Amino acid sequence: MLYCFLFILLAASASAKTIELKIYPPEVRFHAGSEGQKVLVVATDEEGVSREVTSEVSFQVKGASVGTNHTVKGTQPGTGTLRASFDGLSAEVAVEVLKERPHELSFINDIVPIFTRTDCANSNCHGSIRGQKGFKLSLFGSDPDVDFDAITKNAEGKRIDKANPANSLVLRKPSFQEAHGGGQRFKVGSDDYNLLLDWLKRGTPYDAPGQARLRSLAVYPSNWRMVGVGSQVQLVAVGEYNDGSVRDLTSSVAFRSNIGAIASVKPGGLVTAEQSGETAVMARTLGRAAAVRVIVVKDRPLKDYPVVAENNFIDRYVFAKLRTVNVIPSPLSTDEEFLRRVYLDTVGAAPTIAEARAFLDSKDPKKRSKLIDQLLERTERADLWAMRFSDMYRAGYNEAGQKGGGQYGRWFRDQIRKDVPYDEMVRNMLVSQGRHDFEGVSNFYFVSREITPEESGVNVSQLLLGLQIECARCHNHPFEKWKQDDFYGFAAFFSRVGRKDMYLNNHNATYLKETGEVLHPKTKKPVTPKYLDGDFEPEAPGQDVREKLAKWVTAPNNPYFARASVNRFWKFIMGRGLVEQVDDFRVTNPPTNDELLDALAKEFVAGGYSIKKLERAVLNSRTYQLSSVPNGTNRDDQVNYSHFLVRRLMSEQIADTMAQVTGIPLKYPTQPLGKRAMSIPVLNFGKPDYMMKVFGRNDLREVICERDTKPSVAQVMHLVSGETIQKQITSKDGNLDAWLADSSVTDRQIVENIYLAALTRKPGEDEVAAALAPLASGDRSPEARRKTFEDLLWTAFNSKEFLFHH
Amino acid sequence: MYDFDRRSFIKIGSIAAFHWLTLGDALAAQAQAETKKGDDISVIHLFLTGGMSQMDTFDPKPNSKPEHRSQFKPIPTSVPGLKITEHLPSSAKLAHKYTVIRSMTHKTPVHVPACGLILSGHLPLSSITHPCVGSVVSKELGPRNELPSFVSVPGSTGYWESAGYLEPRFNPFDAGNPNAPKYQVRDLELPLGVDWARMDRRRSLLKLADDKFRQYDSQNLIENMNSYYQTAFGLMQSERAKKAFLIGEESEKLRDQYGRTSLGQGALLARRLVESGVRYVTITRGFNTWDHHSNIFPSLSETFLPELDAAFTALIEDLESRGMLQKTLLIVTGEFGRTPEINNLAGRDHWANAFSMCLAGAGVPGGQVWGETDENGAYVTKDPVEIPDFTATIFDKLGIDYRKEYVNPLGRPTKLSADGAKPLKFLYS
Repeated sequence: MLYCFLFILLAASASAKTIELKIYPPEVRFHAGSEGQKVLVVATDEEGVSREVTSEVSFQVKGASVGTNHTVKGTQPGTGTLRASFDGLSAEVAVEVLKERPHELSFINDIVPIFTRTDCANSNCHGSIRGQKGFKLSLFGSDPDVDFDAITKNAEGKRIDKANPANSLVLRKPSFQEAHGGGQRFKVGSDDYNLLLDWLKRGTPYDAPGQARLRSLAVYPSNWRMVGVGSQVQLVAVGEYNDGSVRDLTSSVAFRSNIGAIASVKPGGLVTAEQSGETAVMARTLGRAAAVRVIVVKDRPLKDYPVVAENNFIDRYVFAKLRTVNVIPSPLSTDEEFLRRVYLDTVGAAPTIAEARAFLDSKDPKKRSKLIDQLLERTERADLWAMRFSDMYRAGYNEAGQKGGGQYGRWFRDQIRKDVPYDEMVRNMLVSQGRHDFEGVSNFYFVSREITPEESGVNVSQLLLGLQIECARCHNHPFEKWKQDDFYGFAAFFSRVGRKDMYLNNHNATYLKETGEVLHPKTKKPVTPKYLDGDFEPEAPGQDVREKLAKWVTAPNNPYFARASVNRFWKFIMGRGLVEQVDDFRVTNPPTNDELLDALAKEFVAGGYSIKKLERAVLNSRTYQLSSVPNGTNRDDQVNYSHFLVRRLMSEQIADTMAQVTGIPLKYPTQPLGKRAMSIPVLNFGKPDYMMKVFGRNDLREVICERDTKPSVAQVMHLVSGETIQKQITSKDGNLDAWLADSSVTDRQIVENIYLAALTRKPGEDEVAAALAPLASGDRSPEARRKTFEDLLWTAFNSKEFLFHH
Repeated sequence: MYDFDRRSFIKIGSIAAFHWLTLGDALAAQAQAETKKGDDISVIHLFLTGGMSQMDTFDPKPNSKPEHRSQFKPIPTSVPGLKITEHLPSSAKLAHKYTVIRSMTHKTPVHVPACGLILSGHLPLSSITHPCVGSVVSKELGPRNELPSFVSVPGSTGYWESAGYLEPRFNPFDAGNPNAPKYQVRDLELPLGVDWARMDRRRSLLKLADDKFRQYDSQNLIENMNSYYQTAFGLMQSERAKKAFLIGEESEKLRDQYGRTSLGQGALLARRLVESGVRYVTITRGFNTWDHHSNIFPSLSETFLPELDAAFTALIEDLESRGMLQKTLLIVTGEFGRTPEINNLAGRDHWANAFSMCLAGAGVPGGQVWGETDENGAYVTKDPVEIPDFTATIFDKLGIDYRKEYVNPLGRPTKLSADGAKPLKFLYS
């Protein structure tokens, strides 16, 4: 056994030498005489594999001592160092022993966390909005006042027994001395039991005013790749309080894995790798949360990992991440695949036959980047972006917004055509007012019948900052720091924004009211505008406080705006946000590639918030141009961009491409014949086009949502026998009739034309044969020929290759 | 009990994942084996969107302030002491067949959120859309056969009448307007000049194309979409489905009895659909049509009330004569009521503090009046009824646990009917 163990150690060290040693936390701070601070040492070998070696290192410490469980302790205030040595390397961190502080038992800091770490205050138990069996705690200990009342006062105080503290229900139930639906949460005599009993014996005191409150929670290491199923790492949690004190919270917080099947975590923070994949491990206490991104890979790094060319910074970050998860990117897309993809993503439709031939026949080695440059100047690109923004910003709210919605869409189009910097666009949106049917941008706030500050607050935080704060409208946010005060403070920026009817129902305006205020639902007092995670901004007389807000949102150092924006733009093109959902940035929902998100945001800010510059970089990246065909290593990867993500086209892309293939123009109510669906910001509400509607275009943009690209029976029935397709393939005098009438065009060429126009590729021999099979029997009457090609068009339009972006 | 249901749901789910078309069969077999309570109950909702005036229909107030008073007279009904408006004469004769609730109440006198509330039991948020009851029924019980489980006639009135955050397969199936001269369901029939032989040729070409594309698909998108193709073809080829929509098979007399209106013919179609296996049907005469802000009295007396009177009573009698009334929950309500005050356009505006609803069938007692309002019909004075209790009753009658929780996209566990909701005991006999 010992021999075996030594052998493994030797094998590991012989094959890969340790090149780096690190100690966490990066500085060790604790109070003299306290329980000290647990530390963690990790070693990284030359192949980039890290593992925890805390129990294998030798420690040398100055000014303190290392006790059991790798906890550094000390009795004398002062500074020192902690050094760890392993495999010929050593690492050092500073140790600071803070002055001793008397530790009094605190309800908030000692008792409340018990209920979080023993799962009592979960959302599916006593932390639920209704509590459980009449006992309601605040979710994850976010509101100690609520918890104090629940334990000591509610239910006529039956949960505590003052005369005999050990007999208190709040102790007997979780220790299962009494029937408890939630089972045993801790044993009689356990640390948690004793702590709670101690507090009960002291007469259930509440904290004195001024009691230090947890200000921040940090968990180390913040990123961790676990190599090999079964490998483990011990996390370390550190809390900082608002009086400057610190505390090792490793044994106090509740640890939870987002996906336990990938990495599981035990109370106390020991993480075990279970199977390949990515997850995050949360630490929670007192309403605060911190997350560790955990990647599990089964095997050591691939020895024969290929060299993958990088086109720009995007590839650097994407491929670096892929390498850490032992995933090899798919090869570069073919010219046909790239061509179709980049047209759909810029012009909004597949290339025409002529455009396709021009590109495919070109021998220019730089033809891809040249095509991208051309496409970025096409006017149709502005239509596509205007549609993306119209969806995102809900242009054309309800029937009342029809006229304004059109103007809004045209405003977006104009901004994109001129490549107006996005920060400038957003500032103009935030301070907008005016008649909706005259001033497109004034529709920004018109997303519900009455413009309310609360609605505007939700809108701005979700769309511009990627933050979901709506939970905090009714209760403090369960996973985040947002409290009701934050929600209403943010809403207060919009307290004077109002809507008025001009002279008809359809003619609305956004205007700035003389006065207006937001009342806090609890205090019923007016709330002062307050930036999220920032300061108060009282509104001065004669001033529009939205101007200040607009500056704050778009300031280059705003921590949310650039990241949230590039994440959305990245998703428009790549099909998946680095953070999903795109409006749900939070500690407990980390991005799949933080470094890439940062780099994109930095590039966006440095590029003067030019959407076009950012788009050019994305389209030119090899990442964008990878094939969507998966290989053996990346088939299961849907989050790291190892291959292009296949997804359904937008309704407009389908309809506009169809009409281009057949040469039969489509007609929308009140629009000129042949106007592309993508170029119409808002379709007629009274009679929405069925094809558009059924494929997810939503002209009544009422809820914050993304395009629905999911399938439905109605969609399929419309593709199979609906009038849109039927007219497209049977109407006379389109491209098909022209080809049929031209004696120089062979049947085979018609097949090739249809394939090139609809699918941007040549047909295979089997496809040609199958398509022309009915004509092989000899009936080449005009009817038979037309029928044959109608069937081929039907097939093309129903094929997943046509319907899905790939 | 709960565990048992859960297991069977998972079992069906796993069959369905592999072969969607067998879902109906699997459910039918399961239903036969277990005969779950409520599984044979269907729902027909005559949805009067826009808001039906309570004072001018089922809650007449002849002694209200003169400036509030209806131009219509109350008339006696088949139930002693119960009076309703003179413009619902057939409904008056059948009053012993249904319950009138006069004390419906909520706090949202705005159409869209109120529609969301009455159809889903939840107040809408700006960030998510709750699934409406019909969609939840679709999800929980699945289709009885190749017909969809949830149908809207003529079609969904908007996003509030949808699967919301659930999968789109639980959206209502739009039936179209059965009162249209050449009524047929959109896209159900093959196009002119295409027979099934030709469609089969197309399908074989399509299979070739999709097989080639399969190499691109690492997310099982093709299989997923193909399952919808199978459902669609199953529906298009189903004789039962085709027949269900053939409203022309009904006698002229019966069609006249229901009324030659979209609501009337919709109600008749709903009966045919329920007979053929559909679980949940909502019928409207178009979104917001009952929104009588002006000229309310002639509108109601000349058009809306005769239309409702015919559809409602024909449905009760027709269902009863076919022995279906005990298995069909019939609901008549809008999203709210209307102001007691008459505005300067001779109309009534939005009013959610009190409004009326009628229910019949599926064990709902007949001849019952529940709740009271004040002398103007403005506020509930006795036995108020909240919307979540109403939706909990529907779920309960269908054998669905109304306390079951879905986790909504905000990560919040949400009960099918809002927390604390309970079925309305007085709707059980």
